[in-house]
Amino acid sequence: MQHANAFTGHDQPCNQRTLVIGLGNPLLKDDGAGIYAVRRLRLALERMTWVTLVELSVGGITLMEHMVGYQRVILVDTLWVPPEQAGQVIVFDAGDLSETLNTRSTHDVDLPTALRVGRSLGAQLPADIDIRIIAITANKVLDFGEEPSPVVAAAIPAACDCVLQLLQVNPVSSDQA
Amino acid sequence: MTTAQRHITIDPITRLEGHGKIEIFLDEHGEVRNTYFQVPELRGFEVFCLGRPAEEMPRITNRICGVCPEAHHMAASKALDDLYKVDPPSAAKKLRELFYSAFYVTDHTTHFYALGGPDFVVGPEAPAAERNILGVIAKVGTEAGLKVINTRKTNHEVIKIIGGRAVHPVAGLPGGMSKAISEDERQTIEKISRDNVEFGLWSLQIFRDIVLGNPQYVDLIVGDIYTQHTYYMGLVDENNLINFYDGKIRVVSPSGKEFARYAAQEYAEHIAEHVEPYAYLKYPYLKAIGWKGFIDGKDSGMYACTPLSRLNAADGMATPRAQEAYEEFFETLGGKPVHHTLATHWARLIELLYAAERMVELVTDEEITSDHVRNIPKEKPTVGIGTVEAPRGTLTHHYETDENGILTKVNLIVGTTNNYAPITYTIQKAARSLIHEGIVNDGILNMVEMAFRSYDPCFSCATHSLPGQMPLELIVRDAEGQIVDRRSQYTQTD
Repeated sequence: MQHANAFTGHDQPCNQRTLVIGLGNPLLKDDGAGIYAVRRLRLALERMTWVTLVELSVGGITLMEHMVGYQRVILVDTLWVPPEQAGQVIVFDAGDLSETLNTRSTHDVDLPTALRVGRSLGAQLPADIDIRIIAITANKVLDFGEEPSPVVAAAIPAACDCVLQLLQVNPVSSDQA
Repeated sequence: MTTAQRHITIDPITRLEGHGKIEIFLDEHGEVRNTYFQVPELRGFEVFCLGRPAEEMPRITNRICGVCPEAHHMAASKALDDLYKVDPPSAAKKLRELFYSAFYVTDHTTHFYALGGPDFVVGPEAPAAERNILGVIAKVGTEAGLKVINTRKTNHEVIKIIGGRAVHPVAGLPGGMSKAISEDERQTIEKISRDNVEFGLWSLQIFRDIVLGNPQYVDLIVGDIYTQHTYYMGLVDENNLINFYDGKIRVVSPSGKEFARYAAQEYAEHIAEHVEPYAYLKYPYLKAIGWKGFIDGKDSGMYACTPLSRLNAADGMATPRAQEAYEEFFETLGGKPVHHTLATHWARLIELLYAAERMVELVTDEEITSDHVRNIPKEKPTVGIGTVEAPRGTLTHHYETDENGILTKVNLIVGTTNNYAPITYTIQKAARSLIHEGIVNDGILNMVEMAFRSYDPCFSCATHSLPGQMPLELIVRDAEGQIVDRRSQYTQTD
């Protein structure tokens, strides 16, 4: 069996390749906020050939696997909070993830563990500090619906601006997005 | 120990699924008086689907689970075939089964190496911090870890080629598939399939070397703690050999005799659901036997559908190397049926090998690159029921629509739901066997969890809620209801 480069990503060019992930479930109201943010960014980033945009509804090992071969990752996700704290944007990096929201899954491992697994196997993964997480705080993550709540929808442009700042691109106005 | 009765709970929380909880109540002597296994049930998903066009279901239902979206995609596609009374072309059925077999390889690989396997590969009494995939890599080597991760990656590529997307596939339509595969794609998949066979054989050898080569582990597998005599369910082909994609549902008794064999559309004639006042999820049971509580034996309607159940319910495997492994399995464990729950891990690897061999058969079939992958539906829709064998058990989608194909009823019976009663029973038996005189420690509680883990449960779709995570908490309470021990799965709590 040949397994040398299929996973490690060492055969891929690494010219500051950046992956922007919109993470969440678009059927679960606020949980889809990361997905909606990435959709909003498509037009603004379409000429940046070194940036890849993806929408994902996965965690753990599969999420880690998507990061292989990239030098930087920007992850836009929802952070579950009490209702009165919803609608904020918080930026941190993977080193701050002592415990992710899906840590205790029966069918997956958490992201920090998955990153450790990947690195222990020689995968080319960004350093924790280069995995930036833009979290939109939200509460309605357990309700079925295809639109975020108004307070979360109002925070999505700010989250998009954070992505653009990290990419060193001028923020886009609402009508451009 | 205290003289008061105690109560133990196993109970994690995430945003995704609320939480599952195992509670263990001790009596005044520190013996297990009773156990409860609770999972929250959110029925909102079925309501969310009503009023939508039925053909959206393969793309919607695969969003309720980040663990087995491919299984929901296939069950939904088959339900639509039935709804519109359209039979897909032969090439489309083969493409679907090829896609689905690749999914089985990834799913069983993940469970064995990352989730259930660490209990054996690293050891049931190893510290919790080592009893995980990193511990497995440390034990079997980096090269082995690379094989595991590569197998997942390459099979996700197969899923993407055939299903249109790597995670949430879109290719299934009523009457077939939206696209065929090219010869170049076929060649890519053939190479991956052949690598999968080698990986399956290699994984079985690891199991022989590390687990079967250790008398202590073998004693644990065949011991009474994890043994239960239930009915077993699984999908079989016309020769009663295992098939994951299509066939009849076969049920065998605890003595191994055929008890029922029926088409998916007849499920309601055979299966009923019991309600317990403390539980959100219902307990399916065999109608013809009836609900007798959490007891095993031929007089109890409790049944299981797991990899072990499928091996018990079938007469064999449809591919040669898997058949050899199947025969070795039953010879080693004393003949059919095998009632040792922990043998499910071994059965899972045999299924992995079968899926790999089946991929080779399908991808080398001359019809697999045919352009004729869909028959257009012409009938008016009414009722559609589709079943596949998901890794965690028989999965059925049942839809009813108006004459315009707008959904008026949706019912999903997922693999883990089928296993709710036997999981509850297994936990209860393990707890009663392992906890005595009030002595509860990490090793003992992990061994209780091992009973649970062997089922590879996934409650995101069992609760019809969310994508892929089922946290678990275990709480021990004394006779007065006070918590005397508490832990969350995979992490030690204070």
